[in-house]
Amino acid sequence: MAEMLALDFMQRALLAALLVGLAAPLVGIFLVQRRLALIGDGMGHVALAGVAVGVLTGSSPVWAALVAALVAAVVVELIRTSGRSQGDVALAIIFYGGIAASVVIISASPKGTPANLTAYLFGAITTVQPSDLWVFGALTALIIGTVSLLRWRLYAVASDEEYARSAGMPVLALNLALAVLTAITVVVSMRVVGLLLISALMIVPNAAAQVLGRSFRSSLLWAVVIGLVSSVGGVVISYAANAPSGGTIVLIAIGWYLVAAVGAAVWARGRRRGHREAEGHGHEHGPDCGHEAIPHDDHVDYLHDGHLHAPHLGHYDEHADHAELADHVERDGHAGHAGHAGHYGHADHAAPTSPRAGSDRVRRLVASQPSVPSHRPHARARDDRPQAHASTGDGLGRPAAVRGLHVGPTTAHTLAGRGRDGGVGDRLSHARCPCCHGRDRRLADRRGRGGLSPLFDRRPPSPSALSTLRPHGRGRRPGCRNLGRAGQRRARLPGGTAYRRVGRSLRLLLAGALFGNTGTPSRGSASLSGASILAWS
Amino acid sequence: MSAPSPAPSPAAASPAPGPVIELRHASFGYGERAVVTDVSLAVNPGDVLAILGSNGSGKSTVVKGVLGLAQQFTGEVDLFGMPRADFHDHPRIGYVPQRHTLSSTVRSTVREVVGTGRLSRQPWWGRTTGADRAAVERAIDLVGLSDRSSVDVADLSGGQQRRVLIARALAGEPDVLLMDEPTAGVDAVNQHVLADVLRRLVEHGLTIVVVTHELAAFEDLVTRVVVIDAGQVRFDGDRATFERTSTSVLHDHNHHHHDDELEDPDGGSVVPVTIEVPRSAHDASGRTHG
Ligand SMILES: Nc1ncnc2c1ncn2[C@@H]1O[C@H](COP(=O)(O)OP(=O)(O)OP(=O)(O)O)[C@@H](O)[C@H]1O
Ligand SMILES: [Mg+2]
Ligand SMILES: [Zn+2]
Ligand SMILES: [Zn+2]
Ligand SMILES: [Zn+2]
Ligand SMILES: [Zn+2]
Repeated sequence: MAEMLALDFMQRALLAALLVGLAAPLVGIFLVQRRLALIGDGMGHVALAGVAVGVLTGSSPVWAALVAALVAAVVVELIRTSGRSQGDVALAIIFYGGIAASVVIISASPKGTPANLTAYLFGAITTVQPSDLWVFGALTALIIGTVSLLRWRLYAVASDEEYARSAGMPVLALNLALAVLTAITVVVSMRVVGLLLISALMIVPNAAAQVLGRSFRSSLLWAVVIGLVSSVGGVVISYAANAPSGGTIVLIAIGWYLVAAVGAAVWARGRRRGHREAEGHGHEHGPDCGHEAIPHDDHVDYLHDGHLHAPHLGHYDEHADHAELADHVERDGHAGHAGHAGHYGHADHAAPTSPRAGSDRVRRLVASQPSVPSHRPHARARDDRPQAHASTGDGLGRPAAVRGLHVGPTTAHTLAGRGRDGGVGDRLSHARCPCCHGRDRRLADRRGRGGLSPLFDRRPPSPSALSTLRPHGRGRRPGCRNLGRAGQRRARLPGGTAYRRVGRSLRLLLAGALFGNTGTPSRGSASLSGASILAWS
Repeated sequence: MSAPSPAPSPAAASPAPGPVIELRHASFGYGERAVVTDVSLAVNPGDVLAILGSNGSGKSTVVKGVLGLAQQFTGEVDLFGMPRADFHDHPRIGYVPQRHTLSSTVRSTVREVVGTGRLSRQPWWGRTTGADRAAVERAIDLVGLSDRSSVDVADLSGGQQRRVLIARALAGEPDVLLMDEPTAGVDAVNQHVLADVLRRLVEHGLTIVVVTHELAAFEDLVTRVVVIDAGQVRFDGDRATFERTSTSVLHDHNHHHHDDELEDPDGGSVVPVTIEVPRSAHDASGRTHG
């Protein structure tokens, strides 16, 4: 290893591999998004003609290739935009013209034979010149800079060009920018990966990342990681095995793809076994559907006839059975809390001296509260909540405890809020809670400082923008002065038993490591959504 | 504008006195062919304008013409009192295209798709601020998808995807919303939720132009109706007039909405009007737009 790193040409090859591994997937994801996976291949063909001209004239093949690829990129994009039915054929002519010209030109040069092209086509570690490195470095910096500035615009144009145009985005300019980035990537890759294989390094890491990632952001990160590992690893192996670097790099990337695909399939099967689907679930939960929304880890469960239903892909998962619910209730010592209600019910309005007193307070509030007049189809589901509420904390058996869960965020909080300023205000008072919604306060402050148009300004802050709720004991911050002594002590204790805690964090870690929950995480998804529309009306 | 020096408030200033959108003898089409001809139309601030008409009559073409997505052959289009060529305040217009699904070539969460609706309010060199994030979350919340904001849009149902498109238009906090069949494939409960949301936005001064086949989905929200037939405006008037004359305007396409038992009975003035079209015609149009 040390011996390998001591070699000048290996240092250069590794650096070049680092640059390609970084740049190629960054550009490739937009090509995948626009179903242009093969366009990089075509540009490689044209760049080869540039290389041939460089060899013939004795100038730098890198610069000649760059010029050829840039011209091809712009022409290709303009042909594509014109939308002519012959566009496809025109592209084929350009691409094959490029590779044909390169073969002819290079055989015309005195010291060249078509065999010289092999290194350019498939990559070789010995060919990176010191001067190349500066060019590659500058070009890669350009790619990274452009993508990080424009990535959401490139994303928007690639996902819905018509909408992007209606929103006033410079669609043609952005498409040209992407074409130019593709051309530059092709040139950066010409030494270690090769012009025929660069397209693979743009696409294959992204294919694997699509399996691993859960969002555009996280899949882009995964693609860069896989691209880097493949390109640097490929150069090292190609040195050890004396193989062409380009082929090795691409094979490693494909290997990652296979590992990812198989791993995801196995994991999905394991999960399918591990999670229960709610059977025969015709109803779609959502805000205003009439069911309690209960934040749970990174998502929202809906309390549906004593079951917790969590939206998952096209179906609903069962997220706790009665025994588990009752378990929460027991551990927390009062039915009103059960992981959620207490989190809300504490605090800004009720400020109970003891949990039991708190739930009494809530019960009285509920008893004095006329049932919500509602014209929504789900009104009935909401109407019977106060009764369930009234039985809360009566120390009945398990069924009652489970029903006690109905004292969820919506009811307790809405009631309390209504007592103050007529319903809408409860969101606002939530923002003031020092314990759970410090984050919300920051958002609310920003909103106050302007930036949003007056139209949206006058509305109460949205619960989903407001709260990141944590379930159970973890939702309480030790510093919260509303918690009381017992609550403070409990807040210092982690939620759940040690065993469960370790299990959960291991699961999260594993899922994060394997499946890219690193990107846009579930921030805000564990929100009070169920109550949102309700609170606005 | 000669406003008095202490300007009343930015909110009061934003609905310009003139029409928000004005078409004068405009013709729009694709390629060489004009599809709608000689359309004159003024949308005033606070209007909730419904565009009705059968499949292929050119409703979407009018909307696209306003946005500059269809070719304009003759006439003028003014947006907020400015010729369209000079209009650059794009975030003031929100667009919900007529499409049933979102492209799903790469993973995209609901939040990311809705976030693209916010881009027009951000300078290209700028970063996403907290206010941007809050607006996106609120838009998602408004369409009732906040429990799924981290879900891949490819995993959503068709109706949910339509709601994502609506949220995307709302994320830019527009003053006018142009919606092309936003309720197609959205169930009764969520249509109702959407109508509620739109009502609140209208109360805050939003102007809405909506292409629809189901007037009933918008309850009593719609104040004005325009009927387009074979590329021509056949009717332009207030809701009441439309309902008095609807039988003659719409020929025999007029049916009553069967779901209206589900709807709120206390808005007694609501007379549901639905233009129902044969299933096959719907499918055929889907192909042309796909
Ligand atoms: N992109 C296009 N290119 C060429 N012609 C088009 C295009 N889009 C629509 N047309 C034509 O324009 C006419 C009007 O189409 P438009 O989409 O405006 O109808 P519509 O009233 O919105 O119908 P629908 O109710 O089905 O949405 C149709 O005859 C259609 O064939
Ligand atoms: Mg249409
Ligand atoms: Zn429900
Ligand atoms: Zn859950
Ligand atoms: Zn359910
Ligand atoms: Zn599931």
